[in-house]
Formats: sequence, structure tokens, C-alpha cells
Amino acid sequence: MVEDGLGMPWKYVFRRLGIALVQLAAISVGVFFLMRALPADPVGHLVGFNASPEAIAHTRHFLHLDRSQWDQLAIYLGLDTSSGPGLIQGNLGSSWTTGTTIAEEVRTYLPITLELITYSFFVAVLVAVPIGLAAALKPRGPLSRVVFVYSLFAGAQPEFWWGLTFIFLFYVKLHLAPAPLGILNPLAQAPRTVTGMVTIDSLIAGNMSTFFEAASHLMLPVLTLAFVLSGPIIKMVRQNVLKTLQSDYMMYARSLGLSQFRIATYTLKNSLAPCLTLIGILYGYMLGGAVLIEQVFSLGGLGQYAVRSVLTFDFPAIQGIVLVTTTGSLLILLSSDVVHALIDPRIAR
Amino acid sequence: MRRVVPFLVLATLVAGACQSNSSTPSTTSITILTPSSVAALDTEAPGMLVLESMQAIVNLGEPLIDFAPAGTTSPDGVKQLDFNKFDGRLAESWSLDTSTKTWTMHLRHNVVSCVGNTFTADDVLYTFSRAKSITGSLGPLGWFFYNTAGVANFDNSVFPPTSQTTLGDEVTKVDDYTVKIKVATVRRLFLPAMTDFFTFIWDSKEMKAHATSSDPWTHDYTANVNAPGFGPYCLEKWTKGSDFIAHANPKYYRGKASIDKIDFRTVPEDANRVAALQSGAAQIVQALTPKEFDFLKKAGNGVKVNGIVGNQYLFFGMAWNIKPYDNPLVRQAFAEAIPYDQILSTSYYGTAHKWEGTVPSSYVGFHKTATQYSLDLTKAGQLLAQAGYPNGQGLDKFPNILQLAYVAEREGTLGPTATLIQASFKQLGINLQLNPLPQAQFADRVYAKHDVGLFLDDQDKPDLVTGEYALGPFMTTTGPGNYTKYSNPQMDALVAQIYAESDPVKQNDLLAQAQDMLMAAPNWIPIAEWETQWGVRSNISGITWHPEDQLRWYDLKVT
Amino acid sequence: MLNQVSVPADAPEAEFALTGTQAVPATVAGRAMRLVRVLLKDPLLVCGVLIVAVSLLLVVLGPWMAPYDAQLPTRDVSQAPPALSDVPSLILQSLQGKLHHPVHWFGTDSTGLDVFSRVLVAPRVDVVVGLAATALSLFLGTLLGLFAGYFGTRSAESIIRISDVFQSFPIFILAMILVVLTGRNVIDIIVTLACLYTPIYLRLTCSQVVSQVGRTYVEAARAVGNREIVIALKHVLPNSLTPALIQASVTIGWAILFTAGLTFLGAGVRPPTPEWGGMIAASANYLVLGEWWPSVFPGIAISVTVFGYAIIGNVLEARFRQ
Repeated sequence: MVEDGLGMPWKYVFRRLGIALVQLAAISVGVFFLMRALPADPVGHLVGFNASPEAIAHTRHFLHLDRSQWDQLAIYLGLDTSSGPGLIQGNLGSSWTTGTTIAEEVRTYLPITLELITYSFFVAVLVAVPIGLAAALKPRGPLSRVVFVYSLFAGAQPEFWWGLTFIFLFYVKLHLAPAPLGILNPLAQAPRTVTGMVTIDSLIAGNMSTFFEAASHLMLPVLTLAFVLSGPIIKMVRQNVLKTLQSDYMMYARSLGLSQFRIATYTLKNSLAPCLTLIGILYGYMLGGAVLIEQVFSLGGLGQYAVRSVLTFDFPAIQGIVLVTTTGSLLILLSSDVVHALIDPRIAR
Repeated sequence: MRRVVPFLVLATLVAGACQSNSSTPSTTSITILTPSSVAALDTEAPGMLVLESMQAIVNLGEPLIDFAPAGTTSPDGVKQLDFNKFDGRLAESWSLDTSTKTWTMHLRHNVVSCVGNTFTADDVLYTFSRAKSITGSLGPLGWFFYNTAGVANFDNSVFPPTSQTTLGDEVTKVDDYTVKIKVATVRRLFLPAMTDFFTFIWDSKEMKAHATSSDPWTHDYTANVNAPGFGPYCLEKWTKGSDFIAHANPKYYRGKASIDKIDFRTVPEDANRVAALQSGAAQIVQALTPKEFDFLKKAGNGVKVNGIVGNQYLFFGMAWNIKPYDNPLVRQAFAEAIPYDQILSTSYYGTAHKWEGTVPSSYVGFHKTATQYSLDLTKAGQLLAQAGYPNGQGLDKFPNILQLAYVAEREGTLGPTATLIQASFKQLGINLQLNPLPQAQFADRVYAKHDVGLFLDDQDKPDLVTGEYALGPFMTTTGPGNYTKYSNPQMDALVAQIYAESDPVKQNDLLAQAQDMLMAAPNWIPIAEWETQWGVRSNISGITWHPEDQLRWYDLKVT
Repeated sequence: MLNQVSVPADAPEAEFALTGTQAVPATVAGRAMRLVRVLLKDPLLVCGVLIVAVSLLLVVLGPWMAPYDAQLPTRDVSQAPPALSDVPSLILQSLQGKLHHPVHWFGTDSTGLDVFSRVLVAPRVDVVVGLAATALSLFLGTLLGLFAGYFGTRSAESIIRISDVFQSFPIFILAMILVVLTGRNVIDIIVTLACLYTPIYLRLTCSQVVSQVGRTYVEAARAVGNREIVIALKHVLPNSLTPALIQASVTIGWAILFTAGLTFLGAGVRPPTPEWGGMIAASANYLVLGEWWPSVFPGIAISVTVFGYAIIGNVLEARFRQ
């Protein structure tokens, strides 16, 4: 395993960043027009049943919907600042349903999703890597078969249904888990917001009871997500470790008489690369994909916010969420590619 | 409920979700759970249409007048109001001079707001001025209610091109505690309009303190921070999207509320609200489906369900001028094909009754119409054949029309209803397709554009409790709530007559005529009047029903 | 759902690969027998095949096998399924024709619809959407990938970057918007899903094509005088299809999961069309009230079905990956 220096592949990174910016621009404009191609008008919902033509016209004007689509795009992007700052100036706009700025709403909801997914990945990786490794070391053993079947099974599951089933089992029937009321129960005092993640914030504030409260509410959602995530991760680990074990230099190591354990540690590093790519892609996917779990457990994360925004035709909110999620995913894809390139310099060429 | 603490946790450190009230000996506090959160406290902001915003504002603000208690209770334990009698609130007394069409309001002394300002006539003038300025982002709702009440100059002259948005002599201050209001026409809607939260009185000093040059009427502050008013509760903490905490105003003129602190919290999932109520983590929950309320009722164990048939109704709307509904025989056929009883039992678990008129039965001027419909498939089949569509043949020419729209978010109650109707219509040979639309889209197409052929609606709640308000906006050609584009010159004339008539007995007579006319048509097929319900811990009492369906926290008591 | 992200795996499963020294039978019958023997040796594979076969059977025969009309409410509302101990005697009685009306094996939901019938009829939506969406995206994706990969690495990279964009897009939001845009008909959902999965096939085929284009047989075909388009379609494409075809089985599973998830969020098929995700959504709130049967049975159906397709996909992958 020779490394040609620990240098970051800077040219590669910058090129990818450049491409990412183009992709983001394309997405922003694309979503913008997609929203306005919707056959429904958000105004009726906002005006309510007292929808006199004057009221409708009044609201349309207020939301700039009476201008041409190009005008509206210019206002949104910040090329026309007569109604205030736009995207270029860093303003994501305000929600049409609540009136709060999108930036603030994202700041409230995004950390909850990040909290959920990060813990889930942590648990999934903690469980999946050793199991996948153990299964690969003895490919014909019964453990390997069971693990293989499990990995196929877990990756094919409807996580929203498992979430509901876990609630039914562990809360309704066994009374082991707390009620799925969201991250904190109604009477708990929320800690002062630093990161937005309840568990982290309560640790920072030194409020241990809130920390455990939040942790216990996160138990079931994390369990559900980790269960589903473990499938593809175990499968990937097992496959790659197997492949590495069969390669020539492993044969050589074995012929030298190295112990299984030493061999295992060597294989791990080389199997890591595709696994990291997978985890990166999964994480990016989960930013938007955790919506089902958030809905089932009432967590109040970005996914729920997104669903609400789509269903109420809250254009600025939808545009903001898409922008944030896609940025996040692209960055994660980029980082995992960079790490991959660091581990395997051939990629960056 | 027993909880096993995760193995990482020391048992002593877990806060109990099982406690009912956290309270120091001298303060009571309760938690109320709702599906959405308070979106705005500005009566002219879009967020005000969210029901939770309405509940917040009726408790932070105070109207001039309110309805007097009737002294009766509904069968399910909710106190009722007498819509013919009024109690003075910020107005102690009032009188109408019919010759000059002027109301004189004598205002109450020693009313103090949460920030310490005393209520005077200036606050009333401010409120009217703000409404007339039509500067809100939602739409001129304050204007609309004063317009409905008949207040002079609150008409189309406020809109372009005349744009007369400054308060003229229609509202004048006689002295610090007397106000005169001129009306263009004397309507019995005037007093009910004054009870509505869209016209509650702002604390003008506090409002002006938060005005800016770009926002002279303080819309930003009220939409996002607080609503300065003279009500029984003061806002303590408001986190948009989750909770809303209020504490009792110690200087409230009717005496400090018996419950010191209200935690008005958002829990979107029904199941979670049910769980919280049963465990005691919450004391009141709202907006569950009838099935869930039925479950709570049967489970008991410290929980009860209070309910009342107020002004929530369910109807099947048909566009007036779209084929094939322009044929009255088709309408009547549909009316005879709806499985009323099955809907009442399956969708409402016995907490609804058949709606036998076109105006809520609790309203002034309700009339049980001469025509009544019931499920009669033979008759329906005959009517269809007479109309030229025997066995439903020929109706498939209208595929887009035969879509029954309803609000997707209300799938819990409307889903079974729609499915039952679909199944019943199938027996006639009509293949209805169900079309659940997201709330926003339904509101846009039904409430704003009026361009849906067939729909189920259970969300209308005409705020003002008189028959003419329940008919006028919906059943006149130019009415803003005319979802079915109903147009009948006779009805238009009748409604105008009713509004102009000053003798309430004659008004109710005319209303009866109008209702009979509508039922015979029918563009709305009335199906059910259903209960507004609350899940409540057994030790809570005092729920009184107001027409906007929101709890008055001041009425609640913990025993 | 999470196998959505297709990172190519390389090593064939050791236990599935044929070793090069095994003799290949000469006759078709012989080969078929050998295949059946191989299949039977692996119980997992047998499960997978059975599941897929049953799902396809239900697509065709579902409504005839269902005891009740899947969209007609009965008068039995929220009835629980029969107790396990009663089931044998009920089976006996129904076979003997002694019952007035059929048993509600899985109970009924809060509208009075029979859960068992709906579970049986739902594959007509779920599996069909899965199959159709996969077929459509396979077709489009491979063609586009072929085109992209054949005509130079520049275009190949930009195609990959574009499909990156699709991959990082929050797909649920995109799907909800598209469904609202086009209406909640089955056709629209198929097209939406096809749009989402095409990039995957595009990417797979593209990278395969890129590696094939440098091979000798392509040069040979050119030397003989074939037109580029003929080379692309007749020679390169068949050799590049393998990863795409392997992916197809798994995609069917994802499509079923996605449809269920979409309907769960309220943007899938219209009610009361029987669809597993929709059935779960409609009764999710009542789990806490103790009414488990309208959600549990459809969930088991999804779980098992998608697992079946995943098994097939994995076996194909193990067998045919080079």
C-alpha cells in the first residue's frame, strides 16, 4: 500500500466544486420553473374562503405572482432587488404559509434530520462493519449465510411500516418505549438552541435529563433507520472484504503465515473505499429520504417540512428545501469521492 | 405507564412523561395539543386562517361584545351560548339610533392590557383604521367583517381606483370612553360581527410602539412576535412550529383566569395526541377523527370526550352550470343516492346527525326544509332515466366531471364517506372517481376559483351565527363563497331582501323560503352536521362553544 | 429502498459461480434439468422465485381470488381478524360452503373494506407500477447511456454529472411535485418513477459502453465497414446490457417501495384503489388504538415481495457479473 504523498487532489476538488455550482444553479432555476408549471395556484389557499376577486388580486400582487415568470426569477435570484435581497445576496425568501424566513425554518428543521440520520448511520456502521467482516472471513459458514440473507432482507424493507410496527410493539404492547410525540415530550424544557440538535444542545447546556429524554425518544426512529441502513452496508462490506481476501496479495500474506486477525485489519482499509462511497450516497439520499420516518415519529425534521411545503404550494419553502438538500448531497458526494481519491489515487486522474 | 429506562440511563435522571401537571403549589398549568401550530397573530396575515392561530388570538385579545351564555349544555357536555343575547366586554353598553343609523358604544373603564396600557376609545378607532387600511398580506378580512356588519364607507371605495383607506367620520370618538359607529344599513349582523376575532380591539399604544416606517400598521410584529390586546392571557413564549405558552393576565378586568399557564403545543400525528392525553402528558387534545374520539370515550380511564354540534357540516357540492349537473333531475338523483345513515355511522360513530336544512341548525333562522332526501336507489334510478341517463349510460361522456374532490388531509373522515358514496353510485351505474386534493389545491380550485364539478366539503364554518350569513356568501351569484357558481335571480333578490329587512321575524320567514328553495334545487346536498369534539382529562371542565370552534382558555377550570 | 444507490459490486459470490471445469450438457433438456437442480439446491433462491411468481400470479388473478370486492365497503367496520385458534375450523367451514358470507381473514378497516381482498388485489397497482416503471427506465436509460458512452468521454462525463444531480435531488419532493403536476393516475406515477430511475441505467450502461468501445471486436466491426450506429446497436449494446438487466430486478423492488412510500405521504394512487402503502397510511393512526390488522398485513406483503425481487436480483448479479 504505497501512497504518493498525503496531498489532497486539489485540482480534482476544485473541478468538482465548479461543476457542483453549475449543478446547483441548474437545479434552482429548474425547480423555480417546475413550481410555476404546477396547475394550481397557491393564492386560493392563502386567501381562504373570503376569496373576493380583490382579495385574490391583492395577494397575487403581494407574492409577485402577477409579474412574468422571468421577472419573478430575477426577484428570486436577486438580480432585481427592488423587493428586497434575493438568492445571490443570500436571502432564501420567506415562507408563504408562516411568514418566517426560509433560512430560519431550515435552521430549525435541518438539524433534527441531521441528528436522526447521523445517529442512525453511526449505529448502522457500528453494527454492520464487524458483522460484515466476520461473515466475510468465513464465507461458507452458517453465520455468513444468515448475514447475507439478513442484508438482502433489511435493504428491501419499507421503513415507514417498520417504524409503525416498532411503535406498536414497543410502545403500545410492551410499554418499553416512550410515546412517539417527537423528540421531546410536551412538558420537557427544550435546551437553548446552539446547533439545533436537541441531544447536542442539552449536552452543551449540561442538562442531562433532557439529554436522556431526547435520546429515549430517538431510540425507535434510530433503530428503524439503522435496521434498514444496515442491509446495504453489511452487503457492501462483506462483498468487498471477500473480494480483497481473494486478491493476490492476500494470498501472499496468508502464505506468509499471518493470522486471520492481521489479515482482517489489512483488508479493512482496502475494502473501505467503496463502502465510504456507499455511505456517502446513502447519507445524501437520507437527507430527503428520512421523511417517512420523520412523519411516522413526528420528529419535525426537514422531510416533514418539505411534505408540508409541497402540499401547501409554498413555493419559496420548496425552492429553499431543494436547494439545501441538493447542496448537502452534492457536498457529501464530493467529500466521499475525495476520500475515495485519497485512498485510491487512481480515481482523481 | 411503565417505562423501562434504556440501559445507559440512570433511572433518576429521566423526566417523567407520565406526570400530569408540573406545578408549583400556587400555579396551575395545562397542555393543549393541536395538529398544527400558531402561524401568525395578525388578523390580516395568511397564517390567521390556521385554526390554531385563531385559538391563540381569541385568548390574547378581547372583543367589544360577546354572546351571553345560554345556561344550557350540549348532550356531550359543552356549554352553549345564546346567539340572541349579548354580553358587554370592552363595550359595557350600546344603543342604536335607527334614524341616524348610528351605534353608540359606551366603553369599559379600567381595562388594562398585558403591558400595562389602559383601554380607551383610541384603541377602537385604531382598530377600525387598521382594518380600513387594507395593508395586510392576506386579504382585507377586517374590512370584510365590518363590511358585512354594514359599517359605513367600508365598501368597495377602499379599493383602487378610489382607494379611500383613511378612516372618515364613520367611527368617531365622542370622549375617551364613548364611540359612535355609523352604519350604511342596519343589519342584525352588526352585533355578531363585533364578537368575531377579526374585529377584536388592538392595544394601539403598544401597536404604535412596534410600528416602523415601512410597516406603519405593525403587521410584521403581529405576524411574528405578539398580538397586543386586552385579553385574559398574555403571550409568554412563542416558537413558530412548536409551542405557544401563555400566562394569565393578572390585571384582566373580569378577574385573573383560573388556569395560570397554558402550553398550546403542536403534535401533528393524531395517534401521538391520543397517547399524550391518555398518559396525562396533555390535558386537552383537539382535531382528532371521530373514530379516535370514540376510542378515547370507550377507553375512559381519566379521559372524557366533550362535544357539540355547532356549525360544522358536511355537504356534497355540485357545480350549477356544468353538464350533466345543470339538469335538476340529475341533482335529485344524486341526492337520493347518498347513503346517509351508513355515512353517519361509519364516518362519525354516532356523533353526527343528518343535516336537514341548508343552514346550521344552531343558527338564528334555521328552518327544517320541506324537501328531505334519503337513500332510495330505485327512485334515484328512475330520476336518472328520466334525465336521459338510464343506468348511468351516457354519463361516462363526462369523465372529468365525475371526479369527487375532497381535501386529502382529511382522508380520515372524508375517505370513508367518499368511498361509501362511490360504492352507492356504482349501484346506479355511475363510476365516480375519488380525487383527494391537497388542502392548498382544494382551496384554490373550490374556494377561490370555484371550478370543481363535484366535491365534498366539511370545513366551512360561517363565523357569524345568523342564517343570512350562512347563505349570503355562498348562495348569491356574486358571493365570495359561491363554490358551485350557483346563480338564481330569485335567491339573489331574497337575500337582498333579508339583509334589508329589519324585523327579525320577517327575516326568518324569508330565510325559510330561501332554504326551501335551495333544498329543492339542490346545489349543495346536505349530508351531516357533525360534532366539534375535544378529548379532555376528567378533571377539566368549562368548555364553551364559540362559533369559530376555538377554546376560550378563560372558561376552563381544573378541579 | 436503500439499495437504490447502485455502487457496482465486483466479486461474484463464491458459492454461486460455476467453476470452469464443469461439463456443460449438450441438450436443452439437459441444461434445463441442470438449472432446476441448481435452483433447488438453494432454498433462498427458491423462496425468491416463489415470491416473484406469486406476485405475478396475483397481478393476473388477484380480483378472482379475492373473496370480496376490494373497493366495496361492507357493513363490518373495523372488524378484527379471526383468532388463530378459530382459523382451522373456519377454513373447513368455508370449504364446505357452510358460511353465509366469506370470512374476513385479515379483518376489515375503518371503512368496512376487506383487508385480505385488498392485499390480494394490490399487486395490480404495486407490482405493475414496479414492472412498468423499470421497463420504461431500462429502455430509456440504456439507449441514452449507449448514446452517451459511445460518442466520447466528454459527453459521458457530463451525462454522469447530470445524473449526479438527479441522484442528489430529494426524490420524494420531486416525485410529489411531479405527481401533483400530472395527476394521481397510475400512468403518471409510472412515468414519474421512470424519470427517477432512468439516470441509474444511463450511468450503468454508459460506463459499460465506455469500457466496451475500446475492445477489439468493435475495431473489427469498423474495419469490416459497419456503420457506427449499427455497431452501437448490434454489437456494443448487447454486451453492455448485463449490469442493467441485473439491476432491473432490484429496481422493481425499489419501485414498489417507492410507490408505497409516495402513497403513504399522500401523493400516490387515488383511494380507494387497493395499494399496500395506501392501506398502511390509511390506518397508521389507528395502530395506537390497537387496530393493527389493516397496516400489518399490507406491510408484510410489501416486505416479502420486495425481498423476493431483491433475492432474484442478487442471484443474477452473482451469476453474471464478470
